Amino acid sequence: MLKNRTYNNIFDIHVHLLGDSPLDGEFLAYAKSHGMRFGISCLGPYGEMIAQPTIDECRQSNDMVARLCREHRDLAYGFSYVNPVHGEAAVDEIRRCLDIGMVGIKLWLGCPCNDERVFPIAEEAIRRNIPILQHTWIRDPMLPGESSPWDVAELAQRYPEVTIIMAHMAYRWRQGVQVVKDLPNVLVDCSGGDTELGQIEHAVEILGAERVLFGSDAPGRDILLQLSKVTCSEISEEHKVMILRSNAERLLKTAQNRGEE
Amino acid sequence: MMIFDVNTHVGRAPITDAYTDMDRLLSMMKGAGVGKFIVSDFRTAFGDAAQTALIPAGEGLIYLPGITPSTDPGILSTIETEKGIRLYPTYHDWHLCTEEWNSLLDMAQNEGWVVHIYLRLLDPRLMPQSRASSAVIQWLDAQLAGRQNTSFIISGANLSEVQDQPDFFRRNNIWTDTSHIQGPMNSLRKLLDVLGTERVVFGSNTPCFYPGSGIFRIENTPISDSAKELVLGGNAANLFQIT
Repeated sequence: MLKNRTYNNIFDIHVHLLGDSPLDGEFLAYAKSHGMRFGISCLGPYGEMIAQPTIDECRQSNDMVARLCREHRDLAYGFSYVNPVHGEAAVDEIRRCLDIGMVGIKLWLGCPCNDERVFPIAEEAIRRNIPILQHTWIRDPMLPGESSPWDVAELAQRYPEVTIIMAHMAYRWRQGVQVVKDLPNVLVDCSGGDTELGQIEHAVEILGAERVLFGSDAPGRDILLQLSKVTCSEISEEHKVMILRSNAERLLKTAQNRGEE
Repeated sequence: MMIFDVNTHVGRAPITDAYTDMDRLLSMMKGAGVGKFIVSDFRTAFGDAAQTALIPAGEGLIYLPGITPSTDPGILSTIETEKGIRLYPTYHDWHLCTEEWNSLLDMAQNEGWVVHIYLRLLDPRLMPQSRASSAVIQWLDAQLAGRQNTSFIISGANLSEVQDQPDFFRRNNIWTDTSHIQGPMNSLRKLLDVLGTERVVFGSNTPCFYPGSGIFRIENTPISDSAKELVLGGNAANLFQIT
């Protein structure tokens, strides 16, 4: 348990299942010993992340996540990984995953999220009242299929009812959060990147604490350092609890989406 | 237990352009519970300020001048550094096998200075390096055979670099700063598995990183209390001969 017990029993919205890696076990051990719930996706069934997975690779990855969620029902919440280029098959896969208890959609490098192939996915997310966790970055050049905060903003404006979690605060967080500040359906997670001073304060100032979620990008990142961005930030304890726990709880309505009620 | 932070700066940071004055740094150090810290001014290494103009004053600090290829080595004798110098060979255009470089290291050896080498201040995706960390490590590895009486701190190494070159980082005159050991899971414990507990020193990389982050990580890592004390301050105190 952490020395400050306020920081136990929190929610990490952005975790990866690597598959075939001891890091998965290390993360699970941490989560279990600290009562930490987590949103998790798998970006490839063979132990490495696949930017352009086939539909079958998505299914296999999601089955691995579903298995983990069954084994750790009190902690693990699955996000369905799909590649929008697969059109209706991607939407069918999302439906399949939701029917077996997953609570969100994970998008990575299939195509930029303002691509029209993402629209049916956004519409399904609205129908099912689930969030889209969208990998977002600012770099030059962008990776093929990578989404920028401007892409996220376009999708959010087109579909104001969809909830998008802009992952990593787009890495260049000073710029990233500014782009989405006037879009209340866009939240951010602080996962990944180094423990750069000021990022949490900036996000809270620009977006409000209610739109910031704790994410770690574990197990590739050290969970303690990722957590320290929030615990060591100069924001109120109330806002820290919101970021570390209650925002995710409110967003996922975990029990309802898992059909336990 | 005194927390000793080997890695802080003041002044205008490269890339972010954020300015941190001494009062702000002192406040951050105090807030994080740091009792002693090593500081340089960014402006001497990344700006155009003269070395002698910017020596900060404050309780608990040890000043190390940041040296660039254009620094006049003669100026070093006018600065009351006593403890060491900082070099940024992945960012500055050092020619690593020149007489000037060797003269600088000879001076450090003669004066008993700690030579603090930075491989990174920020992720290279944010602050590109002009020379790869691996090249600097490789060069240092070749150099250190003749410099066993000089102590080096390496800041900015990531865990992969340490695991890939364990013999270098295990040298008995090399200390490794924790600041850029940012992943994967259990990264501090994995670092200690490679280096042991006596060659690792806490560095926050303030103001680039949160000053308390590294402390939070160390305090909450399941290692012995004695290991925590050594990493948080004991090793640096020994290195800089502070009681």
